[in-house]
Amino acid sequence: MLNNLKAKIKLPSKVSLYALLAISTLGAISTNANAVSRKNTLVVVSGGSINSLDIHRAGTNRTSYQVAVNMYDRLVTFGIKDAGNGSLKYDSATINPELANSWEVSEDGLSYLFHIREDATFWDGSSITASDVKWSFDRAVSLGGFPTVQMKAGGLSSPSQFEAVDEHTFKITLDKANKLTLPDLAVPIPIIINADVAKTHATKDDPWAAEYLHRTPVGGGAYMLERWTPGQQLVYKRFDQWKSGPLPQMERVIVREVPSAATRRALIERGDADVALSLSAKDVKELKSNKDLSVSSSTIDNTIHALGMNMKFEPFQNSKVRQAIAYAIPYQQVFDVAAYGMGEPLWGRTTEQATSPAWPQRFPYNTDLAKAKALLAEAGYPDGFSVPISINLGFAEWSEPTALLIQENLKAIGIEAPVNKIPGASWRTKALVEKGLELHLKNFGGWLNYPDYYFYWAYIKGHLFNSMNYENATIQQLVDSTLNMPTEDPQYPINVMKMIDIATDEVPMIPLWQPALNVVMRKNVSGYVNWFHRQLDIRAFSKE
Amino acid sequence: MFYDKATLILKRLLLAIPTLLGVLVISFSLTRALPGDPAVYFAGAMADEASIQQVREQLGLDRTLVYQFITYCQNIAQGEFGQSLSTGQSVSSELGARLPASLELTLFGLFLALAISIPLGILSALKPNTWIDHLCRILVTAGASTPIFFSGLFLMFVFYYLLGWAPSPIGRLDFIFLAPTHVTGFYTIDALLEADFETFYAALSQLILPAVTLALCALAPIARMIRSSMITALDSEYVKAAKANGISSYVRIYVYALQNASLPLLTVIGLVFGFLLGGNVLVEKVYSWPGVGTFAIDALIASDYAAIQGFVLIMAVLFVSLNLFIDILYTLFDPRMGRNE
Repeated sequence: MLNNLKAKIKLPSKVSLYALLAISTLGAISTNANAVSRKNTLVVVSGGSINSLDIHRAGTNRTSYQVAVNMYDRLVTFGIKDAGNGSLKYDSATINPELANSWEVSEDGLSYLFHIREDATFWDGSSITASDVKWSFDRAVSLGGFPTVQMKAGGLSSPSQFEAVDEHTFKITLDKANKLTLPDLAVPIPIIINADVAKTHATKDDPWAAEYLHRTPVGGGAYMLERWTPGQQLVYKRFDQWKSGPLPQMERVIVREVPSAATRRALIERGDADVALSLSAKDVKELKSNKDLSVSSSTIDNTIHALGMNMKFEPFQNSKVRQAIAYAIPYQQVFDVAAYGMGEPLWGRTTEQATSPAWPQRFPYNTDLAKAKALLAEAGYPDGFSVPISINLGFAEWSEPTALLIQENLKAIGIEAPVNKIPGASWRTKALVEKGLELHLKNFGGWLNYPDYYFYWAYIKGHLFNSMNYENATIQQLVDSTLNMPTEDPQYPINVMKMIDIATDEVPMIPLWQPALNVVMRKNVSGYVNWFHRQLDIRAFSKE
Repeated sequence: MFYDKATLILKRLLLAIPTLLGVLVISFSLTRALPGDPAVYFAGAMADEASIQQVREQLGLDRTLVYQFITYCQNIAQGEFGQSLSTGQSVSSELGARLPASLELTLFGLFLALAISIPLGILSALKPNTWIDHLCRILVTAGASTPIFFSGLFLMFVFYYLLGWAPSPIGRLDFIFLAPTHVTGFYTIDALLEADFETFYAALSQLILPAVTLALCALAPIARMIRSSMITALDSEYVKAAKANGISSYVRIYVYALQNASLPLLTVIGLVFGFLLGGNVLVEKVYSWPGVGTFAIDALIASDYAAIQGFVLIMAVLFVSLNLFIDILYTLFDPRMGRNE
C-alpha cells in the first residue's frame, strides 16, 4: 500500500523527467545538472555558513577555513595517522611536503630554503613560482588581524623575511630559531595565491586584492570553485592537474548549509547526504548503532573545556578557594551529561606530580565535597559566597548542562552560583578582551599542538585566552624559555612538566574534559581526517 | 466620492514618510545599544589589540554616533545598505536574494491558509454546532496551540523521514537543479517563465511542507475571525431585511454578509502576513530555507549593524506598504470610508 502510494507520488517527477529528456535532445534546454554522476559527487551537510572565500579577510568565520584547505596549497602539510579507533587524525609530529618538494633548514635554524615543485600549476595553467609564494606570505603578514597574528606565532612578521631566490626556490629568514615555524606553515593561513591574477585586481585602496579574493579564489589547490551561493551552498570541482598530492577521488563536492541539526540528522539517515557535520552529541551517540552509518569520533588536540576563575574576583585570589572548587565539581556527571561520554576525561590523576609532558592531561582532582568544604573554611570562607557562573550561549549545548551541574555542587559547599548566559557575540568582548567574568566556562584550543603554546595563550597575563587574569612569574619564565626550544631538548619535558605542576597546584582554570570532534558518514564513505582546524579536508574522501 | 477616496489614500501615503524616518532613527540607535563589540567579534579568534583597532577604523566605529548616522543616511539615499560582516555580502544583495525566498514561502503559506480557512469559517458560521463547526474548532485549537517548530519538525519527520514523500528539506531546490534565471526571485514563477517544468515541480515540492507548516499556524486566527464576523453579519438587520424582501440566500450570504464580514478579515490577514514574514525563523531553520528571518537573527546575534538596520528598514517599508494596501482595500470595500469625515 505504502509502496503503491510512493509510486503514485513519484509519477509526476518521472513524467516531467521524460519531458525534459525529450526537450533537451531537441537542444531547447541544456542543463548540466546531472553531468557528474552521484557516485563521484560527495554531499556534505553543514550547520555553518561560509562567509568568505578568503581566509585572510577580517571577519572570515571558521566554516570558511575549508576553502583555504581545499582550494589552496601550502608549502607543507601535516601527516595523517590512525587515531586508534579506526578513525584518522592529523599527525602534528610529522611534516610532509605539499607544494614544496623538499626543504633545508640551516644549522642555526635561522633560515629555511624551500624547493617548489616544478610541475605544479595554478588552475589557469600558469606555473607556481617562488614570487607567488612571496606575495602570498607578504599578504598574510601585512593584512593585519588573524592571519598576521597566526603568522607571528611561527616567528613570521615582516615581508623582509621572505625572499624568492629563483623561480622555484623560496627562502625564509628568522631572527630567532623557532620550533613553531615549520608547523605554522602547515596551518590554513599561509596559502599560496596566484599573485599575477590577484595583482591585476589590486587597487590603491586595496593593494592586496581583498575584495576580489573574497569572492573569487585564485589558487592551485586540489579543488576549484564551481559555484558559491552565500547562505546556501558551495560546490567544489576537482582540479585534474593537481600535482601536490595524489589526485582526490571525488570529482565534485557539494557543501550544503542546513542550519537545523535535526534536519541534518534526518538527511544523513535517509541517505540524501553523505557526510553530516556538527550533529549534537546526543544524536552522534544514537547514530553509532545505526548500521548504515559510520561515526568518526576522536579528540581535538590541545583543546580543553574548562572552568576559569578570575583573579579580579577577590575570593579567587586565594588558591585554596580555587582548589576547593576543583574538588567540588561533579566531573563524571558533567562528562556523561554534557559530553555524552565522548572525549577524554581530565580529572582523577593518581600521582601528585605530572609524570609526562603530554597535554592535555588529567589533573589530580576528584569530586570530594568534604575536602572542598574544609579547604573553603581554611581559606576563610566557611559560609561560602556568591559568584555568577557565566556561559557562552553559542556553546549552550554543553556549557548549559555543565554550568547547572556545577551550580548544584557549589551550592552544597555554600557557594551561590547563578548562571549568567552571554550571547555568542558579546562573549569575546566580555570574557577575552575585558576579562571581566568571575567564574566562566571556556574552551580554548591551540592550533599548534605543543603544551608550551597552550600555556603561552592561556596562562600568561594579558594574553587573549587567559580570561582568568592569572599571573605567575615562574610560568612566564618557563614559557619564554621553552617556546623556542626544540622538543628533542632534554630540558623540554622537564620544563613542560614544571608548568603543568604549577597549573595543577595553583589551578586558575579547572580542566573538565578534552572534547571530541564527531562526524557522521554513510557506510560507503571513507577518508575523513580529524584536523586541528576542525574543517573537512575533502581531498582524502572516497566513496564506494 | 472618488475624489474623497483619492485624498484619503494620499494622506495615508504622506503619513508613511515620518514613520519611515522614525524607523531609521530607532533601528540605528537600537543596534548601537546592543551588547557586544562588533570590532572584537569580526577581528577573529586570535586578533590582538592592534588588529581590533584596525577593524574598528575600517568599520568607522571609532567616529562619533552623529557622524555614523549621517553617513548611514547618505548611503541609504544612494541605495547603499552597507556590507553585512557576518555573511560577507552586501546587505542589498542579501536582502535581494532572501526576501523573495521568504515572500514566496509566506505568500504560498498564506494562500493555503486562506484556501482552507475561508470556506471552513463560512460553513461553520452557516451551520453552527454541526460537525463542520466542530472540525473548524478542532483545527483552530490545534493550529493555535501547536508551536511552529513542533509542527515543522513533526511534518518533516512524518512526510520526509518516515514516508519519504516529501523531497529532502534542504532549501528552495534540490542540489541537482540549478536556480532559474532571476526575474521575480520566486523560483516557481521564474521556472514557469522559462517553461522549465522540471525545476518548477522541484521548487514547488520543496515549498509544500514549510508552507503547510506556516498555513497550520496562520489558519487559526483567520478561520476564527471569518466565523465570528460572518455570524454577526448574518444576524444583522440588513441581512434580515434582505431576507424579508425575498432576496435569494446565495446573494444574501455571499454578497451582503461576506462583503461586510471581509473587512475585519483584511486586518487579520495583514497582521498574519507580517507575523509570518518576519517570524518564521523556526520554519526557515528546520527546512534550511534561505529567508530573511534567519539572516536577521544571525545578524542580531553577531551585532552585525548594517545587516540589522537593512533588515529593519526593509521590513518597515514592507509593513507600511502592506498597511497602506489594506487601507486602500478598506476604502474600496467599505463605502462609508472617506465620506463626511
